[in-house]
Amino acid sequence: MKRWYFIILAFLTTCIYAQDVTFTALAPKVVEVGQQFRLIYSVNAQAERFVPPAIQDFSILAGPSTSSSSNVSIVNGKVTQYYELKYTYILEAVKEGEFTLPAAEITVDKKKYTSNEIKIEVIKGNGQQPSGQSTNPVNQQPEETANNGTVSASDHYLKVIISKSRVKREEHIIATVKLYTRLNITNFGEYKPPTFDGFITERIEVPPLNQLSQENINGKIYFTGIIDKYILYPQKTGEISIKPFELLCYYQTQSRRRSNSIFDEFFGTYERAQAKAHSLPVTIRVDALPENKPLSFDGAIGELKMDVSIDKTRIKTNEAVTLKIKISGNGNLKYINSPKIEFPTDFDVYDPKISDNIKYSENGAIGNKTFEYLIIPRHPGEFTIPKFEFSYFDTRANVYKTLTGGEYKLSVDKSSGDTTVALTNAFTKEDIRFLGKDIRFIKKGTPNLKEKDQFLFGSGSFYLYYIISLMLFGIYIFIRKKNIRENANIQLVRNKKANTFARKRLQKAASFMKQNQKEEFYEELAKGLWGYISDKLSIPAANLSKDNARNQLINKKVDAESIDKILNIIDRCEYARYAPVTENTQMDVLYNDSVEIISKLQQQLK
Amino acid sequence: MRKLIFTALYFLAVFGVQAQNTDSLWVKANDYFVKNNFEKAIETYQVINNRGLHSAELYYNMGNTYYKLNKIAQAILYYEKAAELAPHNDDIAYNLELANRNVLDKIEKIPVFFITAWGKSFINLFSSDLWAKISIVSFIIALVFISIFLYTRRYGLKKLSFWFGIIIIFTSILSFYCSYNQKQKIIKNDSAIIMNPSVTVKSSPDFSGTDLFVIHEGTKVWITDEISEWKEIKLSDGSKGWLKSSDIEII
Repeated sequence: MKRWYFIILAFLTTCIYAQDVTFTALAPKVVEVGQQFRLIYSVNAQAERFVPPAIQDFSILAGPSTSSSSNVSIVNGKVTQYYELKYTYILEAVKEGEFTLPAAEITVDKKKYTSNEIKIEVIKGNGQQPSGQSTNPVNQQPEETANNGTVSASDHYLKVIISKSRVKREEHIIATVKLYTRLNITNFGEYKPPTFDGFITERIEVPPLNQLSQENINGKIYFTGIIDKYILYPQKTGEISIKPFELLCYYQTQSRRRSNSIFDEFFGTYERAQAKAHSLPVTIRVDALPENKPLSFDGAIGELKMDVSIDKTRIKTNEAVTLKIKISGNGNLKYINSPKIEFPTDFDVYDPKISDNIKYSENGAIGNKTFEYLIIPRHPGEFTIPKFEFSYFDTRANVYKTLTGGEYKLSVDKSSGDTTVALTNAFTKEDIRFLGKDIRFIKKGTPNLKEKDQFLFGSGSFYLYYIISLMLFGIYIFIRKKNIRENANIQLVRNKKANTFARKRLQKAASFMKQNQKEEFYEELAKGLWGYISDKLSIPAANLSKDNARNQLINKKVDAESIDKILNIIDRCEYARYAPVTENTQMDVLYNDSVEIISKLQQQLK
Repeated sequence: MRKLIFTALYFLAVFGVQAQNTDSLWVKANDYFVKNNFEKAIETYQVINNRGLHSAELYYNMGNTYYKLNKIAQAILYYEKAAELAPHNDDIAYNLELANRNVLDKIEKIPVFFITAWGKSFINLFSSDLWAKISIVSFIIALVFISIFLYTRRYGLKKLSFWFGIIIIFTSILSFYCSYNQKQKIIKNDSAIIMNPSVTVKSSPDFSGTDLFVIHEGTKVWITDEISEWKEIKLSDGSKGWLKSSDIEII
């Protein structure tokens, strides 16, 4: 029960959302005199009250007969219902000329719909009455062409219809592949589409070929149908010919074989045959574009316009700006490149996001192509996106045209999340462990300030230090030098001081004498005398002997008496030292003699 | 006569006050820094600096303040100035390195021959003034050794003082050279820091010159030539180009 309910509901909704009502009339465009043909009015809804047109120029053989068809298809759970109601007449053309069948009228849901008017051209038949058996135009069979399966090329061919035979390079042309035949085509076989060498092609969608229409070519009726449609963009200049291609067709032909069967005689016999339709040659002349190309020209052609927009001009660092370039119009949109833009060198610019919305139709490729640049300024400052140009060749005016966009001034502020710029970038080149570390703290001690550009080096005091120390060194050297010089005159000193030393010794000896220390007395006395001689005569102590002393004294011209006396005193001293007992009493005499002789020698040895 | 005394007194007072002011300014600026009032701190440091005074400590603190204000280029500039005055100061080198991590340009340095590097690092051991002092002191010591050598009679001492004398006189000459070098480095003004966020370096001293490369604030460059408003600079990777003088600040 429930299920039924849903099904009904489903039907109801489909009814509610049914397609718009279409009411069309269908008939061949060209017929021969005496030919029978069908006129069909079809409506895609339940209709009533069909008001037929007034058909005056044709004789009605039958009709109107109604037939209806409906189907329901469920695709992926989606229910589509199709319903068709047909009113069919069978008419016969009686006279030549062009006739118009007026519109018929019908009522659907209490609304009146009218059909299209139909123009039918009636031409004079070529004497041959088409066989009357078939009233369907597709089944129409021009008999004389169907002899023994061989079909003449003029009766069955493909034609490439081009919109222009002379074009500029890259300029679009529409190529329509159309079948012309006088055969009774039943269906199509293998189709080898044209290769269109030297062109870039875009296929235009055409409705599937269900029914051939009729056309009058040189007084003959041909069945025609559009097989394919293309937009072509020539890629080279010169004459380009479209290579031949073919379409295999199956057709019916009345058998010529005489049959004995009565039924065959009555109904006629048909055979299935096949014939290839070959294309007629077509050449297209492609001219080069004029030479005076603008610098920014990059192959764009057609009738185009450019819209440029930028989403914001005041931004912060690391924020994205979108520059949108939209090129729209009719032309080779698909093959258009983005205009060249000189972005400031310090911007991060990503490859543009390209989107297109192009419709291919008989008029060409119409639509738009959008380039979206994502720009991210990384540093604050004032930047300019300079003017940029986009050039195309206008096919209508036959000249190059240049469109300009820009310029845009961008003012970039430092982003408020301050450290991000520097630090995130620093990540890429430095180790992470340094993050979170901070600078070391300021110095708080004495500032040790001094004047700028003041150096010890090169200053007066700097050199003064050297000079002072050198001077001190000099003084020291000078003093030492003097000392040495005086040290070198040591004999002179000794000579000078000999008397003093001798007297000192004698005084010492005198003190020993008073204490009656004989041994010390004599020793001191002897030392005093010897010392005096040694100092005065500059005889080293080692060489001191009596003989030596006598010789030296003689050399110094001391009188012999004094020499004898002093040596005698020394002798006596030494004698007394080693034989103290005998010389007991003469200490003071000896002392007085010594004093006397020294003062005497002092006078003589100057 | 009285006038003269007054003027003398006046100047004495003024300079006295100023001298005192500098010290108290220093303390004040440091206090601002501690209280995280970096704008005030940098103002006060600048006052000291504008009096024609400088020191490694002052530049170091200024660098720190700019760093905290997130003005990396200035921070680097002042750290570099401080490093010039006190080449082997550990803190300055550390902070400078940290600041340099924020510089965008990663420039491959031309490898220096290791002996040259050692030489530079040796010269950088001390400041110009310290080298000068070392030179003077070692000169005096050398003189002492020379006199010992000249007048001693003991053979061992003579020999010892001879060698010591030679070594120390050599030391003196070396440190004299080092001192000269350090001074030249400071007064030559041949290095600079990029101050603008991004600078396009041209091939010629003219705006119409070809764009060679882009460098960013904080990068250290060496000035090799100068034509009116333009300076030719060299990066540490050896590439050269011209930029406006206003884009850089000399260390």
